[in-house]
Amino acid sequence: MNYRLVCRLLSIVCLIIGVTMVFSLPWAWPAIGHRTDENFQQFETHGFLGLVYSILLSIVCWAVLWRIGRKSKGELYRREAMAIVGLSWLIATILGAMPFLLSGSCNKLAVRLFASMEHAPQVYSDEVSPLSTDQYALIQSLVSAGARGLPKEKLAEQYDAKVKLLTKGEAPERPFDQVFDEMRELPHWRGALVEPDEDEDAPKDRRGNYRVRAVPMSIADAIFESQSGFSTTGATVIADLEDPVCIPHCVLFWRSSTHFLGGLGIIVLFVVILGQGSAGKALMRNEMPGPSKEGSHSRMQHTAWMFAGLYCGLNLVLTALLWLLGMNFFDAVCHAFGTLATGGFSTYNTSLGHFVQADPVSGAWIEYVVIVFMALAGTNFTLLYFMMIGQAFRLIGDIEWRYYMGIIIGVTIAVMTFGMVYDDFIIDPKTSFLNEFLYALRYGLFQVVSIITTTGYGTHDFDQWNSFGRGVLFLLMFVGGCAGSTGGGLKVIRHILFHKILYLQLEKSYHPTVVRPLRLGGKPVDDPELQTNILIYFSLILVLFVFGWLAVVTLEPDSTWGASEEHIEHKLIDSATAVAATLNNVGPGLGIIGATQNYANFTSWTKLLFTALMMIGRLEIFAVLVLFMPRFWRSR
Amino acid sequence: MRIVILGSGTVGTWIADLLCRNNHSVTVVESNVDTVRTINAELDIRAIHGSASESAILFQAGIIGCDLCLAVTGDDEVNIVAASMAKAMGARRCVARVYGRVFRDLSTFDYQRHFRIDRFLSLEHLSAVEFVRAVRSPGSAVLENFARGELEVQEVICDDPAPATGKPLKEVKLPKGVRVGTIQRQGKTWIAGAGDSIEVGDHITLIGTREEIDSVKSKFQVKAAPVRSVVIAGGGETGLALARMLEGQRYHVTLMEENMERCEFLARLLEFTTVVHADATRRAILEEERVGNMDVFVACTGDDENNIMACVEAREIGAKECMAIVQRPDYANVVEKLGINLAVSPRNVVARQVLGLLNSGPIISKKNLPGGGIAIVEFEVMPGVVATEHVIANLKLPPHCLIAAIMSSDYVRVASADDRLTPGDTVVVLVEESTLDSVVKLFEE
Repeated sequence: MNYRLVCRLLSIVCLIIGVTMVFSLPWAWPAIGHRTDENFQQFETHGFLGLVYSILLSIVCWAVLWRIGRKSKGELYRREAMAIVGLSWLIATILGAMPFLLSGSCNKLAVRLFASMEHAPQVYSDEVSPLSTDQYALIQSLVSAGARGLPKEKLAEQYDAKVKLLTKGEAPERPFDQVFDEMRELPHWRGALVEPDEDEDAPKDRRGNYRVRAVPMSIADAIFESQSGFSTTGATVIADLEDPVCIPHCVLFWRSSTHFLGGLGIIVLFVVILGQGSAGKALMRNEMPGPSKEGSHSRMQHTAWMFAGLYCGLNLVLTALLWLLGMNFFDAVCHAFGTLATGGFSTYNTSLGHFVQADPVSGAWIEYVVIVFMALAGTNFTLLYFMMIGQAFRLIGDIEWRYYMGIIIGVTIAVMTFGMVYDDFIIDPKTSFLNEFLYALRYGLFQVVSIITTTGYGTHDFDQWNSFGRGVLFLLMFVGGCAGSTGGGLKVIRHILFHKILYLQLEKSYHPTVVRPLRLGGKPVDDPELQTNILIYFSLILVLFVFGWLAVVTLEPDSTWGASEEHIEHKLIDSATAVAATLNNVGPGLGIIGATQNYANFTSWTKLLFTALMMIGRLEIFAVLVLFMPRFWRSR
Repeated sequence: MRIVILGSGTVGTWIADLLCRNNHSVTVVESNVDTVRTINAELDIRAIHGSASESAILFQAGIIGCDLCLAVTGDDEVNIVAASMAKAMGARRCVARVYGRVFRDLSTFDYQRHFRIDRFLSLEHLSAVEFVRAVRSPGSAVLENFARGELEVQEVICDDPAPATGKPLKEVKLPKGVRVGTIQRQGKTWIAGAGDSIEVGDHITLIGTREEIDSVKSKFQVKAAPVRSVVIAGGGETGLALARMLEGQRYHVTLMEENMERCEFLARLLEFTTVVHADATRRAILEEERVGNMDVFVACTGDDENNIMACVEAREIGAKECMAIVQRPDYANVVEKLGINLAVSPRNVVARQVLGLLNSGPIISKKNLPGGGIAIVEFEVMPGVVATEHVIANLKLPPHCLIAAIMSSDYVRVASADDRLTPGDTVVVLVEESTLDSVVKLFEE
């Protein structure tokens, strides 16, 4: 292993990360940042400083690695290329986590309540004794208000209402402030609850409120979030995205920028800038998703340019479209990043559903536009390039693309049919059949495209769908986009080839003398290694999924699910979907990580496990696994 | 006629001998001195020592003004270059023997047209065509040779009333790319004219591309013909060509080959054929591959004895029809007694081809259909002839004459009434022997 050379190339990766962070800085100014909150119009000092420190750290890393590697000699071989790809993603993840940590962003509240009163709540992830009715009512009011908290009058009002609801009509015995003071005396609760004017440095909008303290992101949280961005997963640990104190706009923008970088691929960017000749080819081969790596150009740098150019172009087009459809510029850019990288980070808690709630007409159009662009992002970029230069027949004639479209259409029809039979899409029972059909089409198509391309945006809580719909979406996670796209998952082409290999092997079992090559679209597949590679990849994914699932089930305490029987039943399924969603870079799963939920409540160890799965999924296993082979690092 | 043969391998010598015995004057060019000496000593042929692609040698061989030049050396490229040179130097007709399949493939490049060679001969392909004809239906005409494999001729049996039966052909709406070639009724075959109508029980031939024929078949044939199964033993060039011509239609083709590498090569080329890695001369294997249930068994390995033995075994197991390549003339009398339905001798096939090329005037080649006075004639369209003056509909063609296909520099297609012939084209005409002279006039200067 040529360590010096590896260091020199990795130093450039640090620089790329640092430079990209610079583009997040301007959003700290309120004039650019498009603040939605009237109370919060000042400069985001914490976020800005966090980013600046992170940039400095990146530069330090660059300088150190550059110094080690400046005298590097020799060529870049396959071994070094693989090491660089794997390590660059590690470095990017760690550096990318810094803005979350250094800006002091918060991802959740200190208190976690479960759906019913009997469940013991968690305070700072510790289980405490169950609450009495009025205590529960108070805490529930505060938790639902988020980190902002509630002023005295509003809290009183909500407290009364909650108590009445819980006791079925009885007025509260004690006023809320008495309960509040009583709870602050309890051992665990003292630090978690904040009185008005207790914290003088708090921002204006919450200084005078009763509130629950927000917890700053832990290292595991920050690394999870960063990896989720780079791997274009879109799974988040941040419970409240709409609170600029918890997560400043500039950090939010960095979060979406990690999608941009991850979708393009750090190494692709690297090759675009530096070329590197045959070394660039070796690097790209390890990073680009999918089994077929042939490009449209004979030079790898041209291929990388084509890929990057198309990717940036599509980002620009989508940003413009979303902006025209009524999003503000900040949201438009962030959602474009999230869509074309097939990531799924949004800037709202309700994901894209926010825009429909805000304006049903333009919101619906936003959904349709995003559906189209998600589908494009899941298409092979080489084919998109051919379409751009007027050879649309190559796109339509491509077997993989046909299957991809076929799966989308077929599954959408199935999901719509079942959804309509089980009335999943109806909010109002008086909806006419036509409207129900349109809802089903919009929500069904959106979710199917969102999951198959491994984007993971949500417009409808598919966790509430019938079992068939949920099961199908879970299976779709393993399909993924086309090879050479930004989508994750197994890729459609691998499924096609896998079925063909299966068929050939079946025939071989009763007719061993038959000689039949693997064919794709009538043409024989040339690569003799391909059959084995496909089978190995399938089995590795299966092994990773099964053992990942076992690990999550073991590592994660039952209390995450509320430790009651009705919830714990979901543990197995929820864990399975969480592993599938991270391994395939999808994002949301079912149950506690469903479309309206997030990963905030998992323990740190599980989060780190998910982080590893995301990276393995994005780099298609091998580039990550070799890092753990001692023989890989030995020079002889 | 004066004939120059370039190359004197087995095929070359044999053709030279054949032509010599037919009273033609033959010159052979050969690079091996010993062979030249032997030929000069044993045959009534002039043999010249030298390279076939050398202009001085060709000149010496009297290429200028010769009637036919056959390039049959062992090397495809040499054959093509030499034949092309011969044409340029003034040979009236030139033929190149090619082994490689690529040269016959018109999809990307037309070698034959580019090098101005009148005919590519391939023993393997021609033998395969013989088998195809026998497998499909023994009486039907196979035009593959003429239209260079781009067009197909398929026989359709109109057993039941179909949309097109019982009315004149001009009322049957056929697409431009398909023509009805011949009609066979009660043992009589004639060329279809616009006024003919098709009756139930007729056998007709359709000329066109495979896809187009398939799309119109339903007009003549209500029931699809049953799928027949064919086993080919031996994956040489003949086996490959045969499988290519049969596969994908209503034949289920199994190809047996001993060599694993060759198997892989064949399997990549043949999408709808089941390629089996097996030795076809072993009875156990024939049994395991269910040869007994198959309709046709074709043995085309490179070895006569193996072919014959495999056929006998297959027959015994229960194959309905058996065919084989038998190269040695000595065996010709035995094969029939052994129950082999057809023995194809590549030499005889080539001989027929070469003799068909020995024509004067605009006729490139001429061949008679079995059973009936119909000839399939290939004409060269020369500048200034009557045939180029009008569109086909207005040409004064005799009754029962059909211009079936036009081959020009960039396409091969079925002729339609409003096509116009241009100098340089080659046309395939179906004509009754008695009226051939009046057709020849149209193409004569």
